[in-house]
Amino acid sequence: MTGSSWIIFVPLLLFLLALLFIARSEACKSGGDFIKSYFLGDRALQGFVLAMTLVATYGSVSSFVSGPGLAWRYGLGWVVFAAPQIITGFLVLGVLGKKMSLVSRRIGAITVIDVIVARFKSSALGAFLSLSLLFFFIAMMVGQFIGGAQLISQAAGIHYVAGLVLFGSVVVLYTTFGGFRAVAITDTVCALLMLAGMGVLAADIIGEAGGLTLLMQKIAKDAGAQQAAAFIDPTSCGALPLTLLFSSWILVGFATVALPQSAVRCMAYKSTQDLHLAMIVSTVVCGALMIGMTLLGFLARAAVPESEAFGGNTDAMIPYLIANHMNPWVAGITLVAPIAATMSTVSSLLIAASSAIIKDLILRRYSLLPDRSEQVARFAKICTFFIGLLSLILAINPFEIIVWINMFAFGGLEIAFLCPLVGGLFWSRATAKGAWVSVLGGLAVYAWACLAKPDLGGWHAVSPALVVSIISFVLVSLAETKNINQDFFPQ
Amino acid sequence: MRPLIGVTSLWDDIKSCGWMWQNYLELIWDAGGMPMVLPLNASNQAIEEAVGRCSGFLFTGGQDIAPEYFESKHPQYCQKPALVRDALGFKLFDAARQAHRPIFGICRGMQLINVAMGGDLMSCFSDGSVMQKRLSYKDAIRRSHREAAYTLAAALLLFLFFWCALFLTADSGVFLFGLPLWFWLSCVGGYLLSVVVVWFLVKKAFRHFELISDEDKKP
Repeated sequence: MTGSSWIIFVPLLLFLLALLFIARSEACKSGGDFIKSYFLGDRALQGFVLAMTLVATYGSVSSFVSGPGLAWRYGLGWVVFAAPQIITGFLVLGVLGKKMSLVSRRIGAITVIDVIVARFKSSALGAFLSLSLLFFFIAMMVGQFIGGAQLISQAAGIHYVAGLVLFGSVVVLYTTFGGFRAVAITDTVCALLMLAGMGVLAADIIGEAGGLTLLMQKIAKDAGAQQAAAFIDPTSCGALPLTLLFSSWILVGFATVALPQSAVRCMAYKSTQDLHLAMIVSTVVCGALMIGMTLLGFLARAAVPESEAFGGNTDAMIPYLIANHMNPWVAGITLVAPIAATMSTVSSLLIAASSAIIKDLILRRYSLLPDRSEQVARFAKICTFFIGLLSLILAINPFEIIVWINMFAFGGLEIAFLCPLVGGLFWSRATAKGAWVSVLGGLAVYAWACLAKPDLGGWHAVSPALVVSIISFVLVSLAETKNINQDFFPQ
Repeated sequence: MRPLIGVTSLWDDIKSCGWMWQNYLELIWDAGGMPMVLPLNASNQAIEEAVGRCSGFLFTGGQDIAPEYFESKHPQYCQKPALVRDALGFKLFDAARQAHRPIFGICRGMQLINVAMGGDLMSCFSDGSVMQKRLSYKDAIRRSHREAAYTLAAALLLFLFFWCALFLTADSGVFLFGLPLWFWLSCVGGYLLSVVVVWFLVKKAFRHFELISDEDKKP
């Protein structure tokens, strides 16, 4: 740390203030249809914002820290692992976008759970899925808070809790008072800053080495011949089995279509023009960010050749790079990017978690009516605030179990929602029993694979779980009598 | 002497009569002109008289231009047109333009100028969004199913391209800027291809239609 270490905070503080300011001007007003406005932004998202909020929600602190760190270790093989994200930007919008929006407008759905409950006419299934959503979302938020706070404390040298409270309180505040629309707009700002931060990082890493060719020569020279060969091998000379690389096409590729935090955005946009534009924009941005950041993690070897420098934990590589290889101004600007990624993910999870409690668990059960909407409004904000506060507190001194759940939450959400949501939307014969069996069976296999760690030949645990989930969904549904839901499959 | 400004009459379909807004006339007077309301007479002689006498023309507001005058994409949304005004309007515009008279259009008048010069018109909602094709709920759902299938096919295509590019060139030993060829083709090429594929998907396979909003219609 030098005497000018405060400079690194200037861009970050400006960024946090800007977010609060933007959220204030976009804040959701009470009155009108409060629930629809607070949890869904009145279905008025425009194309560019839709794309950016989708990418920002998806791109998390791990895209900026863990992924690049692993690429540092494995080389280009880890970029192959990240590559399926070239389809992630458009898949959910293209597959779910129009049907979700048509159906949700017809039945007045505000949340993804609303759609599933209406499809299967089973509020028990809805309640179970709401609870699993809350379970996974809170673990993920805690994980994001931990990642962001560690990043600030490592890169800027302040205390972990101070860093946590600094950005954590801002994101909880603007999500609580601003609602979905403020989340979407701040997400857009965050996505742009993520791109900017990546650009600065790329210029720094490649510029320092004097161009890509020289940089690669330096990496090859610093590493031994054997290691250098592994870096440019798609499987990292066997360290990353092909089965794992195929699994990533499921985990961060095809199965992302079921992520509820993405799916809810499919019913929040205004017109087909917005959807079509968003598909193009989010493909451009998502692929660039995910592949770009992972590649930069590998290229960072030129600047940080030894793992002793950052203590051997690859998660600390990017923070180390920011803190030690950049002048404080550039470091400050670069630091904003992963913090923006953290905050934009937390805010979207937070508002969706709150909607699960208010809309799916409380309003459905006790049907508070719109004439008490003042009360609903206050209650919704209090609920958002407390979920955010709870996650923040849990992140201060995290239980190991939460950190562990966070690692598996992403796959867990995909397994819990793939059959009920995507299967339910597109397969007219799907039944509630089929959905139940698929969710419980899939999660059970997943939990077993994660806990017992059996030898799956390199496949990620999400793969067998999804296979079991889909097969049981189809078999149980086919065994039942045909009963077609007219709202979803008009004859 | 003030210049004489010809003002096209409006048409009231219920009363079957031509009429005029007072403020058009007042504002022309205030600007230094002498307004003259033109009769709804589309005969060649009447047009000739008007163009011969008037120094300029104001084409006023009013009903939609009849969809037959341009290639309307949504003729079903056109309100009942005032055919007598359309006939006069286009003839008068051509004659006035040929005689190099200044022409000013307001609202419908501006649209008429646009159509007369070869342009077309898009119907618009009051909130500014462009009028869209309205499908029945059943057709819209069917359309959404087809587009979901196209999207999945596009994703599978990218998946295949990625792995083919990777396997076919993994052992090529060719390097560009220090990075192996397989990386450029599968990761960078796959990314660029994804953008092209989505562009085609959206522009060629996807259709615009109105998202029917039943909840907005509830009181």
